[in-house]
Amino acid sequence: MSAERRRQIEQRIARLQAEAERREDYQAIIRLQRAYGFYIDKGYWREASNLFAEDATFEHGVDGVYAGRERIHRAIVLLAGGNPGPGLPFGQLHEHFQLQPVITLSEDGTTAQGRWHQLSMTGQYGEHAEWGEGVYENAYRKEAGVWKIAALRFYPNFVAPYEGGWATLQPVDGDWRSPALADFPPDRPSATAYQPFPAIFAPPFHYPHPVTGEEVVR
Amino acid sequence: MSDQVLDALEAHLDAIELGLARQASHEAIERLQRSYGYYVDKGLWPAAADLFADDASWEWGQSGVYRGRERIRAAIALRGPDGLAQGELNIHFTCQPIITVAPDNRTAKARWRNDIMWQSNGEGRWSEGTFENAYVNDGGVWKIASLHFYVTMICDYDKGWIAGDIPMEGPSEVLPPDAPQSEVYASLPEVYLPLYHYPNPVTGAQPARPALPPLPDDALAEDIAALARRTERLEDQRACEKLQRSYGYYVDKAMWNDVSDLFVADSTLEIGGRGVFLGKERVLQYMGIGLGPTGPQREQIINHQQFQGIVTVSEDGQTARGRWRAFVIGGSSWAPLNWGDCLYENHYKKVDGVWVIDKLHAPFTMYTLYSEGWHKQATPNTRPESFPPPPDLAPTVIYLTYPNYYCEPFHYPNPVTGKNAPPPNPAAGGVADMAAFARAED
Repeated sequence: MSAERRRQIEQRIARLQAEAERREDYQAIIRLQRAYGFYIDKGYWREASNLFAEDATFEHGVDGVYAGRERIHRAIVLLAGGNPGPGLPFGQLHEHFQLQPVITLSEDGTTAQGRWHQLSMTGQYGEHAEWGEGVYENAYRKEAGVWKIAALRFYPNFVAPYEGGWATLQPVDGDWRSPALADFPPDRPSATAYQPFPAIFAPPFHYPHPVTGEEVVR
Repeated sequence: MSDQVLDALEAHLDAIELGLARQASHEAIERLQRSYGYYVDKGLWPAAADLFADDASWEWGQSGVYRGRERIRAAIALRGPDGLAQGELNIHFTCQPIITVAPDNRTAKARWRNDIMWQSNGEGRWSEGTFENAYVNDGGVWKIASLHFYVTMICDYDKGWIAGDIPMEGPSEVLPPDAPQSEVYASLPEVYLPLYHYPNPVTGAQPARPALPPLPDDALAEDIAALARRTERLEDQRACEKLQRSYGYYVDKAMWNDVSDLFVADSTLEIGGRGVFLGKERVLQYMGIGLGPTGPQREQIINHQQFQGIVTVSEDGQTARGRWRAFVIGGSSWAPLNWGDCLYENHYKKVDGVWVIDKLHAPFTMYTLYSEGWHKQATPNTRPESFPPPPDLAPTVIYLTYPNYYCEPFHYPNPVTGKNAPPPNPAAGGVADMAAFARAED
């Protein structure tokens, strides 16, 4: 009787250990993405690219897919203006707020996905200033107990000039790939074609509706 | 004897299991409310309404109260057609949660804020406000039981807040609500303080902890103690987040007594370049003498929105560090409007089981006038003499804000490599030569 109870307690401990690990995983993944944002803000490109798995992918807007940590590093540097860092040139503002995470851990706890909201304040003193808004749908992977970014997928919705804001934006006509990556082509084109604001695009949700369990599409 | 030992072990496991279940509820409520934001962003009204319980209520500003999922769906859809029309913008950044899960894990309440980027018919707006919501655990599925959004500010993009304030709309004539507004108030230039569902995290009643028998001397006790510690560290992290987010909500409304109550006698506060203030009494003076009278003031907004926290709790659970950012919306009819972007590297500590702010250290990144923007104007760092009262100690770090570059060191190693980030490379160009700066000042 007592031996049976004891065996049940041992099983319960094992189950709660797995449960605690899932709660810790949730926090570790949020920490990873928030750390990415704080590094990008301050021009710490190497620290940011080191958050990716060796074989990770990076995809920004319709710029195509960059595969592998070194290629990702180069894409991050070029998109930010080319300064090698760590640091930023005088007058560059490069703030990228990482907000509103929805994190979904896989059943086996070795992979996860996350939706994030980004608000950005970018610009160059004496020249230009912009507000930016967009959504991430990222994938994460736990390797030897450490969470890494397996795939970063950012869907910019707009980058609007400070003067006049988003009301000044006109429909995008044709190719809107980032000029900063023109001389550094991706490994493959983007699978998702879309138009930014004032067009309406809802980045696909990685997770079903929290209450109905059904897929949510626009 | 043996049964008593097993009873004690099980009592500890019951407490751990409930603690972890309440952590999972935190996650579920975060998912629920953040999904609401993502759905309304894109005009997914049915998906947003499906987050509510059958008998839920919904109230937005002065809309009045709508009851039941179908009525809520119709009320949300007053914004426009399903999926939004081209050129309509409805972005809701849903942030700064303070979630309180009931001890029995069946209900919860939460305070959140929304920053809103909005456009309709070519007219752009900023807006901001606070949620005080309730949630229900319906057989293991969390749902929104009541949503109440209190609008702080709606303004024309070009004119900004104060000069460009736009009043809230009243109840719809097309779809009258089921009940009138539960609270009648106005947004800027008027001010209103939505009640907090929770007491001050330091001076208020602390969450009750179950009384447990001592952990018996048993082979399994070590595993159980380790699990209890892990659960407690998760709760510690949440407690530090609540502390920092409460700081922001209290500063927003100039609740200086509640702000200073988050500090203790040997805490320090250092904001911008104003120097160091020692102890909670000086924190109160800093706020009350330096920043204005207590309580929200008409024709003024001083939002200090606390975002993106990275909290690191020590192994023993007695101290913690936190890197945060504040997104500042400031200005009044007597002082210019500004945007502010501020960083924190803070220290927290547990005093008699309660987390308090040990050191608040807030170097500014960028402040600009709303009328100009950061490409045209940057407000320099505040100095010890910039406004009363004088500090107790000189600033611990001298730096220049944007358009110069300063990076407060990260308190945590890189989460993947485990190594600390190097100092910035001066060749990157943005690090000002402080020696040259000092000479220029002479």
